[in-house]
Amino acid sequence: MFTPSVTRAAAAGRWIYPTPAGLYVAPGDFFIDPVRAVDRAVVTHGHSDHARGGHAHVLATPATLAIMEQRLGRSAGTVRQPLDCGDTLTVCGVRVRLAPAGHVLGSAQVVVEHAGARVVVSGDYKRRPDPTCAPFEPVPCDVFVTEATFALPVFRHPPEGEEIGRLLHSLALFPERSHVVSVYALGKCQRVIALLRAAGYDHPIYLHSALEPLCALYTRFGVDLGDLRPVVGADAAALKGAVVMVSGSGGGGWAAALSDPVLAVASGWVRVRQWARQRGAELPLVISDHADWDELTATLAELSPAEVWITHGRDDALSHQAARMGIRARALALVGRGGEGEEGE
Amino acid sequence: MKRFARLAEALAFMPSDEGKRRLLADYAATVPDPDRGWGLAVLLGVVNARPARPAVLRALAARRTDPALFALSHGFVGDLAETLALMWPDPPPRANSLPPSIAEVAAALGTVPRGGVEELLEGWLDTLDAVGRYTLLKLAGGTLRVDVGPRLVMEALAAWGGVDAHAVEECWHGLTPPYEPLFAWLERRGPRPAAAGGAVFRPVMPALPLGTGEPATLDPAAWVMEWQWDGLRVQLVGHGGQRAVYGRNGEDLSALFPEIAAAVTFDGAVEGELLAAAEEGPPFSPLPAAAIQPRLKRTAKVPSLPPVFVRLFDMLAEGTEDLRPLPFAARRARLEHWFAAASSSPRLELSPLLPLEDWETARRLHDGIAGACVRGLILKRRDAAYDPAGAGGAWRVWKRRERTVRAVLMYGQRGSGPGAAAFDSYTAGVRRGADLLPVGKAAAALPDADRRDLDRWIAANTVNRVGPVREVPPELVVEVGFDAAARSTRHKCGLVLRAPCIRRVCWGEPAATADTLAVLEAMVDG
Ligand SMILES: [Zn+2]
Ligand SMILES: [Zn+2]
Repeated sequence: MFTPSVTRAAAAGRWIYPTPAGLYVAPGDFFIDPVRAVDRAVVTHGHSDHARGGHAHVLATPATLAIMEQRLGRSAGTVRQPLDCGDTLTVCGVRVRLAPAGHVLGSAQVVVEHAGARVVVSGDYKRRPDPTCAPFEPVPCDVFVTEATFALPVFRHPPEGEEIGRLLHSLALFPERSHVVSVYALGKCQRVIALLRAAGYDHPIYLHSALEPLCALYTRFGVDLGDLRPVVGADAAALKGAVVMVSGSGGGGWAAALSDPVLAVASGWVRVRQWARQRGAELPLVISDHADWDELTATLAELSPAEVWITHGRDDALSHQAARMGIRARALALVGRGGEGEEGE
Repeated sequence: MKRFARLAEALAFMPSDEGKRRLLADYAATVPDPDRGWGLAVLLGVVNARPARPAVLRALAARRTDPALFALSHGFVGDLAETLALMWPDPPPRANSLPPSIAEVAAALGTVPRGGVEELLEGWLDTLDAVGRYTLLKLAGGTLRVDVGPRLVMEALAAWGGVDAHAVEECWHGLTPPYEPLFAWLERRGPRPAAAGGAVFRPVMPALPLGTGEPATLDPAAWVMEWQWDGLRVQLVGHGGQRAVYGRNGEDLSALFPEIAAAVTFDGAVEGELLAAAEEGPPFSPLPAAAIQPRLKRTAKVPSLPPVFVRLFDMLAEGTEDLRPLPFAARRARLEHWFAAASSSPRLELSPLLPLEDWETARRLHDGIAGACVRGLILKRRDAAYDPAGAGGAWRVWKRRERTVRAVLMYGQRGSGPGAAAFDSYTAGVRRGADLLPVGKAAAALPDADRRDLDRWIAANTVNRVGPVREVPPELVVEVGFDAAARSTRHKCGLVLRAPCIRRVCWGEPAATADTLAVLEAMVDG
């Protein structure tokens, strides 16, 4: 039984703290998700705002390392050390363990213990089931370091089954129109495909070429995505009424081959209509790989850490909520995460 | 209510009319009576409810949300009803109370006393999901906008029922929500409802655009020419004491323009352009169409509204006689005769016919169009019947030439709220020597994709920011369209543009090729 301690949490602030390069663990001399090239980095997951290139040593889960190798090639890290979730490693008196974060394939929380204090750096995470990655493991701790991407009470992601149901309904209503689904290349793409498969959709799904390597990687790691085909070169007749996955806002010459496509945008942001409109969505699908407001606050309640540190996102609202829950909150305001309004997924 | 909310949501995001018709047909096919009829009635704004004021929404927010979190959320979302709908707790998975039906909502909103709205809404909100809550709050506030007119609904129902759209239209106006006899007929379960009597709307005849080189190919003797006024096309209908003012899609505007409805002291149907005037008349001098907007949006208080009048151009029925099969020349003669003999209201005028002897003179007239109250010219074939299908292009719009200037982009200004990722207005300048002189703030009239590219370019090239304003290097040429240019001492360039907007982004064209101030000065009217 672990009981969070205010004293230990306060002491932790002296050996793990934000620096311009990122969150630094002084006694172990390593950074977690550094935004600049460093000597030693622990990386929570493969998204580009967390997994930067050019580090000398990288520690991460095998899946995250594979993703980094695919995205970054030779700059994925000179020495790459895999650590499975659940395994422990001791670096200069600092115990490091990885625990699943439920965000995307390979995503992990970093559990750091030193001088009796335990700090959990959760990276990005979500709490709802995802057929493409291991579920979030709650780890009791003195300090919980959390994201706050969707930390406003207006963000409550509806059940993903309902959103997929709306996509299937639109496919039934407009059987002659291609349904172009704009997704984030890592995680969202594979999850939407897996959700479609789980809903019984077994037609071929077409992929923009930028999405092919990561889908292949997911398949290698044992995630079954069914019949996937490249959209480039596909027969125009076959694309009628088909699902086409694209990253970003789509576009490109091949899109012109589609006649009158329905643009679906799968993102947590499209819960706000103005955002959905700006992305030109005809079918906004509120599907996100980040914790929504309820998941963020439920996680704080479940873990009841002595302190919560907020890395990026709406730290104002989450700090306020933490205070209402009697948890001391601190905004780290880490640079390099998300953008102006357009948060990385 | 849940199914209705899903329909309203899908319609709001659906860009094409065909898509909207498909959604409406799907709704009619899958929702039982009386909900489907009430749902359509609510979409068309037929159900009258006193709108709940924003204070009601604020009171609900205060009851059920943390004030600090509400303020942060409202700041992000921008819209009060949307913020409240999104923040409101979801019902538990197996809640005891069911969401209300749209029939129930329509009936209750129409009858609830002012003091009871808050409680009514609170009870319903607890049973609905986010989309349902949003739709309910917008509906209660009288601001549910789905951009669906009667015409579109009738076309959707006609396509679904496999009947002619005009046949639906004929009986539509004789029915009231929830239109059960209509659905019974469309589902082959009942007889065709009787055609409506009374002051009914008649589908309007469209005018197709005229191509640039086209006038030369037309015989001037076969056509007449009129101004196309910058107003609102309306149909005034009277029948046995009933009177109505309809918009071009059959929307009933009588309540918005009671003084025009009062001018319908005849039996028959005439058509014209409704215009706002600077002062009460007669004589009335018209203002641009923008002056009517506060009336349509119901945003301004009645005493501050500009007076309105109608310039008539066609007559579709006199007494019970249907004039639509007659050629235009004959209808115009009937209109003029009736106007001289029977029209008594000072708010009704005749729109004059313009001389059309040869295209050379006509083109000079067209080139000379100035001022913002005329959108262009309308050509009508003398021998054409009034045809709502518009087949054959017997009515043609000859749009006034737009004025444009090529200017260099200087600033973008962000809006507020979640739309903060986009720019609200843009400032561009014309060249004078080495200087750039701003020509005022312009809106964007660009396709979505181009607008996104422009916004992205501004975001990526910002060199300086002051509040919401982003300054960019003077490198990008944009085409600014405007209605008119006038002299002004309050502007640095000495000119002010009316209704400027960005028409085109001239990617890759060097800034040195942008227009000079002298080019713009040559376009000043008068
Ligand atoms: Zn992130
Ligand atoms: Zn991430």
